[in-house]
Amino acid sequence: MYPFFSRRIFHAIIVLLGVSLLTFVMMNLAPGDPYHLDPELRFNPEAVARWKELRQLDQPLHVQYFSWLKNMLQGDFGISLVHNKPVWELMMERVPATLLLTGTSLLVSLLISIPLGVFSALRKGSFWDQVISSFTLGGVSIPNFWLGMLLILFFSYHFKWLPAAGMRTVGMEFSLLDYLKHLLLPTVVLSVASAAYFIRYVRAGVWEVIQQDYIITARAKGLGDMTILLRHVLRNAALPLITVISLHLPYLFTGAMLTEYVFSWPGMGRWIVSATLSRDYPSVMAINIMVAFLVTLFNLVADLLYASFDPRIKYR
Amino acid sequence: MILGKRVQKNKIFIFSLVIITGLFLMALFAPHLVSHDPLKTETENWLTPPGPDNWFGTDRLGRDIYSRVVFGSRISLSIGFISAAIMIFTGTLLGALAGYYGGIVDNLIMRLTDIIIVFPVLFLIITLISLFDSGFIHIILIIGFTGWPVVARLVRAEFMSLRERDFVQAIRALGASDLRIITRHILPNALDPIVVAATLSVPAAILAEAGLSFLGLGIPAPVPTWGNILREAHGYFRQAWWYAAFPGAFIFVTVMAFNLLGESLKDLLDS
Repeated sequence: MYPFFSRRIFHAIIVLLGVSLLTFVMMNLAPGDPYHLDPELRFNPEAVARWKELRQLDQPLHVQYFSWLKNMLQGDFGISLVHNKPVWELMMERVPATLLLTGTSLLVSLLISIPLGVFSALRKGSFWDQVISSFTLGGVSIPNFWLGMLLILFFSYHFKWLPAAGMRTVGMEFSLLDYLKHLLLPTVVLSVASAAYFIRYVRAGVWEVIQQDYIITARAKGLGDMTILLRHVLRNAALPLITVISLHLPYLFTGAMLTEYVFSWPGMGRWIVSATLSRDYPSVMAINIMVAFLVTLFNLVADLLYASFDPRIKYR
Repeated sequence: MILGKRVQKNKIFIFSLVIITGLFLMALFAPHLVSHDPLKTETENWLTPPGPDNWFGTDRLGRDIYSRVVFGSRISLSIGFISAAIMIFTGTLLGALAGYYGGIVDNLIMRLTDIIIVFPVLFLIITLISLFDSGFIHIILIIGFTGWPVVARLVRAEFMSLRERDFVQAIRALGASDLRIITRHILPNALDPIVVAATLSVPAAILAEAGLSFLGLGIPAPVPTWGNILREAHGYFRQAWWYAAFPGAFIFVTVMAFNLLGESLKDLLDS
């Protein structure tokens, strides 16, 4: 177990360093400069030189990278070149909103997909199985930003039931109901694709497990259907699902970006676009490393869970 | 022969193929199918609902949405196909090398794959787009060169299991070169999953382009693409449902047709 896990951590560190290096190199190769939008700086080379010196952008690239790395490890992500605020503060304003949206969507899509996937597998070929399969096909095919626009059109504009934008009603006191109302449509939009994706895996996984000999044995022992399902089928089918979820995570963040854009959700979605276009190096570095870190962390947890549930892993 | 019969019986396969062929013909004959010049603005007719003159209505500048959607299919389909080709080529090449040689080669390629995979694709693409500008060719290359890791993992797994098989050992004993073993003996046996992956890469690329154009990072206006029509529609769809409904429906149907084709191909090749 120990060598397996330390190797995984070593890989994770290499991957994170790779992500930061790749982002850094790409951002610096990109034409255009962050000060280029500022009319006062644009035509004044002395001011530009001073501006760069203050932000240590006059240093050689490798020095910049290593000082970024050193500061980042101490929790200092630098100052945004555009907002003139610490990137950490900007991040703390936006990351929770993104995590709220992605977390809720992940939860909702699992709550939908596990029962539907199990049902589909147990009734393979039935009418309802086909209905569910059609839903999964639609779910993986529909562009989520388009779905978002359609839902806004119906539920916000036509019926006026739910708000179309933002995370809460501006100027209103905190109310859980208000938050939930705002969260509902974006969560539906973001969950559809994930749920569709998970249903397919749950269905395939459960179908494979119920054909195993030990299920027949369990049935022969006289165990009830529910006991077999919970104790034998789900436990074995759940393992691959952990990996599927962790591989799906980057797609969830990508989807969140588009969903946030449609619903003006105050998360990282718009920020990454504007920060990249305005060459706000510290912000882009921080966003990319943050997302990569979250994904890698989840992958590690998934590996750990997998290894602790499946004793065969340890010997690999 | 047997495959031919199975194809005839597989209605979903034929159905999706018919839709895709239709979309292709639409892209090919776009200039003959449109009723208006997709770029011609008639501001006095802005946001007209669908009617006999403008089947899908008009947009904020009075352009005919039907004509724009028809022309948009050219961009979406070419990006879908060319990017998917790049993904499959790169993924197969790297996956084959990693799976066949193993060891340090495998380790290097797989770490690169991991790096690209933990980057949510759109983040990586956005960072890359800041590096180049968002022309047609750049979008194709960027989507193609960020989409290969899934294919690479798949091909690697196939190669790892095939290289241990007896027939490969036998050919190696006969003194065949690595290149020959890879291209003549292992690759043909790994072709089925690659074909399926290729079919499923097309909708992924189409969705990626649509998403990028929607965020304003894709093909720049005024060239119509399904994604950038939706971007413009985002500000107006409350007043004009048709502005968003039609281009989105085309993306949906196209992506679904390719997904269906991929699924039915998987069934056909499996059985």
